[in-house]
Amino acid sequence: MQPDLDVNAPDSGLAPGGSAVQLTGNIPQLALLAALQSSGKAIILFDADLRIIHFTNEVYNLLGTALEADLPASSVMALLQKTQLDSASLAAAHQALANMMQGRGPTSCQLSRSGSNTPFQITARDLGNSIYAAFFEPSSAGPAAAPLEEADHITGLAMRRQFERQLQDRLRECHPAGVAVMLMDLDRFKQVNDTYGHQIGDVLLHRVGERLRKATRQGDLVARFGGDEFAVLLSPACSREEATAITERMIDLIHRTYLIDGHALNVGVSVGLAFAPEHGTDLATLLRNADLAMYESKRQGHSRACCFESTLLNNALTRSTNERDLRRALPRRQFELYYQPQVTVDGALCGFEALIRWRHPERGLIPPAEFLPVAEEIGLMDQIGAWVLQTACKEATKWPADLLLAVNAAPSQLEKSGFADCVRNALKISGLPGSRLEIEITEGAILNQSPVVMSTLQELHELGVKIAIDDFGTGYASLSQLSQFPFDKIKLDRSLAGFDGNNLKKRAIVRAVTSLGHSLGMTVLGEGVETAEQMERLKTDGCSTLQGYYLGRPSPASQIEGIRAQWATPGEPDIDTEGNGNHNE
Amino acid sequence: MLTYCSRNHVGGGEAAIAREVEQILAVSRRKNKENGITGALLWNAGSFAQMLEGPRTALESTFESIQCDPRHGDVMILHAGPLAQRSFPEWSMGFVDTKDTIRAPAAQAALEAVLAGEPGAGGQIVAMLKQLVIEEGEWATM
Repeated sequence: MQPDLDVNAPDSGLAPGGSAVQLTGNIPQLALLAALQSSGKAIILFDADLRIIHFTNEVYNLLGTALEADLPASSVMALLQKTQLDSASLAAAHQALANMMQGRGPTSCQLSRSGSNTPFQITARDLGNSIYAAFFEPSSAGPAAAPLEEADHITGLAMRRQFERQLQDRLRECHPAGVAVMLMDLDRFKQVNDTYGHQIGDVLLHRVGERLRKATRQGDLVARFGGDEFAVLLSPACSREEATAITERMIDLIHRTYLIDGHALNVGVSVGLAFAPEHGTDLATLLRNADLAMYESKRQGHSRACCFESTLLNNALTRSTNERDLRRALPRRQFELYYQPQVTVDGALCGFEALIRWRHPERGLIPPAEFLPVAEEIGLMDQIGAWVLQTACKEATKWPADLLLAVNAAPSQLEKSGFADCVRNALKISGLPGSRLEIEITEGAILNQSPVVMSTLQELHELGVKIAIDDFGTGYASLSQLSQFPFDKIKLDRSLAGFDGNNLKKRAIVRAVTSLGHSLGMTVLGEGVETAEQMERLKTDGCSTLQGYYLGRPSPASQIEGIRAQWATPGEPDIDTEGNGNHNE
Repeated sequence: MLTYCSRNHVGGGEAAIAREVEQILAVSRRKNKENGITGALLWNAGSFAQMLEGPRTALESTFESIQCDPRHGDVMILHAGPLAQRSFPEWSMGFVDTKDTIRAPAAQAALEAVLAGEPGAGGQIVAMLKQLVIEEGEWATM
């Protein structure tokens, strides 16, 4: 069956089938292309990145495709993917091209089209001067080409199966010098894909594959496991020093800027190394340990290499015990809320911040910094967040109506669309008016101005809920950001507020923030106040409210009444004995 | 058009470096001619600056092979974008020699400024490269 020709496809003759590279326009080159065209053969010329330089019209006929007019920008693989080749043929074609480029292995193979049983053959050749050609011909009746190991479509590298098979063989041989494996993940690849699209992402993966090949030696096996995950099996008799040198070269090369379709792109790579027999004698153990080492690299801040150590395994085991315990904590009612007073500079109690604690049956009271990151990782944050809101709102209804309740929200909670509903629900169940609730968000949450976060904050405002920006001055937020969203409160970080002595630079910053805050109608609270002197200074520098050990430590709900008794509340101390929020002024 | 600068990772003494640069120049001239790329190379003791002009895909693949070359490091792109007209139409590559007592100190200062991230230093390099072509047209015939 003859496929339809694309109506946009140029005619044969002098006009070439397609050219991606702008030719310099001298006659001999055009004549060569015309000769190529008139040969009636299906030929693609391409460069070292598999980008098409030229192809003949016969390619349309043989491969059966409706090619788009934008073809010149694409690669050989992109072209082949638009044809009716089946997936095994695509992989085989890619392997043949890759073999040819690396000067090894079979450079031709059988291809078949879906819906057709006439096979044909691709032969790849290096024409010199960084120009390569793929010739497509109907198969001769000769013996079929040797079956090829399946290669990764995008990079032409080996895939996980081939890698594991070779590693298995290597481990069985028990080479006296040992076996070295590296697992690696690209850093920031997702951003590239999200920002520039998958096509550019795929070209980038191909380039990364090429750079990995260049950083390694003949005999080392480079594979792509999928996504942005790569692996290297170093050739036998590779010393630790050599392995380290190769790793450094890889990190250096991968880290260098890529120029793709006019975009300058940057990614990094985090590498985990494991050696047999020290770090495992079987495939699964060795790969798991290389993986743990890779995660350690990521944890240490990306674009580096770590070698496996037994402490990594112990930490992983501790982490999984933690995870198990943490999953049980909510149903077993092991979380508790502590409340820390917030006070005006004139010494009146104005509210409490609710702070979560985990009462672990064996380890005792655990502060949030030790378990919330894990909760975040294993996806428990939403459930825990909802529990905190409901519990704290219920508690606050027992307080006088002029006391505010502050509750923290993690960036991950705000980034999901359901957070405003969760707050609305907590208010409804408890009966606490929205105006008595303040949600504290971190600078990181508003850094990207994500539309979901912005609309959530807007919805919260519509519920009457106040928004405070927490730990201000430690992260990314700038003064200019303060004007972009109507925050109600700025919480100056303890590093700016709770210091001793007379640091004039810090004081100048504090005064700038309080003055800007007040002119934008925001309350400014100083955090981490530990002495009377700090309190006085913050008062002088324009803070209106304060929080810190000097004014009161976080305490369980049972002690709130006692704390309230120590402080005057703004206006008359007036206890709502009904235990509901509808307190009359 | 693509302008970038990088640090020279070529080791050894001045003679070794000079040999290496000669070799880089010879290969660049040949390869760039084949790929329709023109441009200028500024080389000074520890650093390179290079301006390349040509079809985008050719530039990008040339840049990729530069990135895979261990003789360069700290590559910094100063400018990448389309160009209405070539500044270096005639020749494929030229360079400022350290022995050039007039231009070498100026080039050295400009390269150091660029690598230190000083604003405006990139423009200075480009201007210097253009000036170089005007003054040393004879490179074209080499």
